[in-house]
Amino acid sequence: MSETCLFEAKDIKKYFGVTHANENVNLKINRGHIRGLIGENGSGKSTLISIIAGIQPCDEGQMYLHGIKYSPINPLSARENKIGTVVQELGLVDGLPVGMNLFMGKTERFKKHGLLDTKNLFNEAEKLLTSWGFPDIHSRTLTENLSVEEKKIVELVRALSIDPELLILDEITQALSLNYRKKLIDIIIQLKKNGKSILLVTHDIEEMVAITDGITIMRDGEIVAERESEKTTPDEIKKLMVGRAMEGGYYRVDNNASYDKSKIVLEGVNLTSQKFQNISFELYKGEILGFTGLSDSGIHELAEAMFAIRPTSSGFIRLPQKNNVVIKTPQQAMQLSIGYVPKDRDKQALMVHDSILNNISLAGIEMTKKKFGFLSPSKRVEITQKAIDSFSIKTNGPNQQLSGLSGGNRQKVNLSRWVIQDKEILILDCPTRGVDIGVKSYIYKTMIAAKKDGISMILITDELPEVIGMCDILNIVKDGEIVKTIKRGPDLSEEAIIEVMV
Amino acid sequence: MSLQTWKKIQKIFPFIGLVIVMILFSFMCGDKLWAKRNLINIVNNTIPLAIGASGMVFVASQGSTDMSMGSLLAVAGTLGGIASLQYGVIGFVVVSVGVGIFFGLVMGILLAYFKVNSLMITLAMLIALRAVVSYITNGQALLLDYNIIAMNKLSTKLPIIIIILALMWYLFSYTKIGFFSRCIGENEEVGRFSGINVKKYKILAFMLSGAMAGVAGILAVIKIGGVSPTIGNFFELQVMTAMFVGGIPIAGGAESKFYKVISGSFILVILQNGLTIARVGSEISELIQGVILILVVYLNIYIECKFTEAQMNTKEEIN
Repeated sequence: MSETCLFEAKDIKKYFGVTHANENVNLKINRGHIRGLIGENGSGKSTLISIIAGIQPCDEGQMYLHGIKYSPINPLSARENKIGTVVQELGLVDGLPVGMNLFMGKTERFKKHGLLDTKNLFNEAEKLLTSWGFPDIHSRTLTENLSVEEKKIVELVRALSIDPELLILDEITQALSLNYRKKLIDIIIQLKKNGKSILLVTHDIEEMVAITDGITIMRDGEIVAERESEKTTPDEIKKLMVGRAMEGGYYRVDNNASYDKSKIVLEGVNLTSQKFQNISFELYKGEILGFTGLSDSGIHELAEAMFAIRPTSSGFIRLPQKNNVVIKTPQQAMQLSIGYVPKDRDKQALMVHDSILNNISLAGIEMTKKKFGFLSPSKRVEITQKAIDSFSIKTNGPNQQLSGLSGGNRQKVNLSRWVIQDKEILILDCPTRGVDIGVKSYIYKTMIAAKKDGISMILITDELPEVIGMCDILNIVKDGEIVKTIKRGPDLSEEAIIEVMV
Repeated sequence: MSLQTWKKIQKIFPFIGLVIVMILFSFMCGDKLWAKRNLINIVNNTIPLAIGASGMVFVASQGSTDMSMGSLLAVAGTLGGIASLQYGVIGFVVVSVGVGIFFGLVMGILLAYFKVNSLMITLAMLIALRAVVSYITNGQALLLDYNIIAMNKLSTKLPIIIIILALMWYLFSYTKIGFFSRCIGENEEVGRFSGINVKKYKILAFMLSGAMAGVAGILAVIKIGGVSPTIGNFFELQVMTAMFVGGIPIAGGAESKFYKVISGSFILVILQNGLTIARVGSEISELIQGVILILVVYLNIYIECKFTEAQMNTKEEIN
C-alpha cells in the first residue's frame, strides 16, 4: 500500500432486507485529497458514509486506515481514529447551549472537583468557533435558537474540533447560504493544504467539480465510475449518475422574458416587516418572478408574507385581476387561487407521519368539499391518484405514509398538490432544495409547462443557476431591500447577481 | 411480517381488545355477563363515557389535553338542574350545554391566543370549577322535578345519544374540523403553512369538548335525580382511559379515529363490569385496570414500531 493512501474500503456490502444498499463498494481516499461522492437519492451514499463513520456496521468487506484494518464499533471509535463526520440529519441536542454540543462526550477535560467547569468550557468553545471563522455563533446560545444553517456550522466545528485526518461532509452545503458556503470551501481548502483528506457529498455538481480532486459516482448501491475532477465536466457526471443521457440543459431554453404584459395578477405594495422594508413588485400572467439573496436577506420571510402567514407592519398584497382585493389570511389566499410551497419541506409543508392522501387533501381540501361541509373520501382518493399519476410519484398507494418516500418524491407530493388544483399563482420557496437532479429537472419541466398554461409563479431561492435558468424578472434582495432588478436576457448572469447580492 | 399485515393489525387493534375482554369475561362470569339486565347496565355505563370521549377526541387529536371535563360536567349539570326548576327540560338542556360551550370557549381562547399549555389551563379549570360547584350547591344535594328524572329511561335516552354520537362521528371523520384537528396534531406548523386557521380550530375543539361535557352533565344529573357537589369526580380520567385503551394516540394526529373512541369506551366498561360480576374486590379491580392500561399502551407502541420498521424496509425496496 502506498504512502499516500489514507483510507481504503474494500468490497463493502450492506443489505436492508432484500435490498442491496451497498454492493461491492471499493473506495480509496488519498492523503490531502478532496474526494467527491455523488449519486441520486437512494443510491447508497449515506449508507456508505454511515458505515465509515461507525453509525452502522457493514455486512461484508473491510476498511483500512493508514493501511491498518479499521472496523469502528460506534461513532465514538470513528472519532478516536480521527474521522470526523457531519451527517445529513441534524445531530445536535436542541435544549443545550452550543458549547455543550461542541464538547459533547469530551467534557472530561473540563472537570474540576468532579463538577463541570462550564465557564472554561464556554470560553474554549467560543475560541474554537472564532478560530474557524464563525465568531457570530456564541457558545452560550441555546442550540434551538439557531437557524438550520448555523446548526450545521456547529456540527461542522464539532467535527473539526477532533482535528480529523478524514472529514466527511454529507450534503452539508445545501443547508448553507452562499456566504457560509464560501467559508466552508475556504476551510476545506485549508484542510487540504494541511494534508488532511475530505469526503464530500453534495447535489451541487458544479460546486463538486470545482473543488474536488476526484469524484466517485454511485448508482443503485454500486460505484459506477470514478473521474478526475480536472478531466471531467458537470454534464458527464450527470450522465453517469442517471445512467442515461440527460436531454439538453434542464432549465428554460429561451433567453427572453415572455409573459402577458397586459395583465398584472398580483401586486405587492411597500411590504415592510422586521426582516424586509418597502418591497414592491408586480407579477404578470405567465411570468416567473424571481427573488434571490443570501438566506438571511429576508427572501424567505417575504415569501411567508406573500401568503399572509407572516404579518406585515405596513404594505399589502393585492390581486388586480380580482377587484384589487387585499390578501389578509392564508385561507383567503388559497381561495383566490394562490398556492404556496414553503422552504422547509418536512417541517412546514408536509405531515411526515401521515399518508400521501391526507397530505394532498390538506392543500386540496376545498376541492373535496360537498354539501354540509362533507369532505368526500372518494374525491380525496381521486385527487390523490391524480397527483400520483401526473407527477409519477413512486409509491405503493395513496395510503402510504410519507416517511416511506424519498426526499425527491416527498417534494413531488408537495408540489403536485398545488399544481393539480390549477392554481393561478404559485409561490415557490426553494422548490428544488435537497432533491436529486432527476426530480429537479422534473420540477423545472413542470414549471415551464405551467408557465405555458398562463400560471404565474414567484420563485424564491438562493441557488443562482436556478433563478438564472428560470426567471423572467429577477429581484435581488439584500438586507431586506430590493437592490437590483434584472430582466431575462444577456444581463442576467451570475457575476451580475453576486456583485450586488453580497 | 409484511407492511400490509401490520397495517391491518393496527387498524383492528381496538376491536381485538374488545373481543378479548368479552371472551375473557364470558369465561369468568358465564351467562351473567350476557344477561339482558347486565347488557342494559353496560350500555348505560358506556353512554356517558362515549359522549365525553366523542367531544374530548377533538382536543386529543390536536395533541392537547382536556383535564377539565369532570368539573365542567358538574358545573354544567348543576346550573342546568337549577334552571330546570324554572324553565323545565328545555332550560335544562340549553343551560347545561351552553355552560359547557362557554367554558370550552374560555379555555380554547387561553390556549390559542395566550399560548398557555392545555394541561395547565384545564387542570386549573378542573380545580376552580369544582369549587364553583361546591359554592353553588353549598355542599348540599338538590332534588329535581319528576319529569326531568323521567328522562333517564334508556328508551328515551338512547335515540338522542345515538343521534349525538352520529353527529360527532360525522364532524370528526368527514368535515374540516375533524380533518384539521388531526392535521394540527400531526404538525401544527404544517397546518399553519397550509392555510389552516389553527387558533380557530383549537377553540372549536374545546367548545365541542365543552358541549359534550354539558351533555354528560345532563346524563349524570338525571341519573342520580338531583344535583350533588361530587358528581363527575374523576370523570375526565375515565374518559381519557377509554380513549387511550381504544387506541387514540396520546400525541394526537392522523391515527385518531372515531371508532376507537366507541370501542375504547366499551372495553373499559365491560372490563369494570366484568370484574364486578366476577366478584373481584374494588382495590384489585382498579389495580387490574391500571395494569391493562399500561399493557394496551405498550402494545399500541409496539405495533406502531413494527409498522414503521416494515415501512422502512419497503422504502428501501422502492428506492
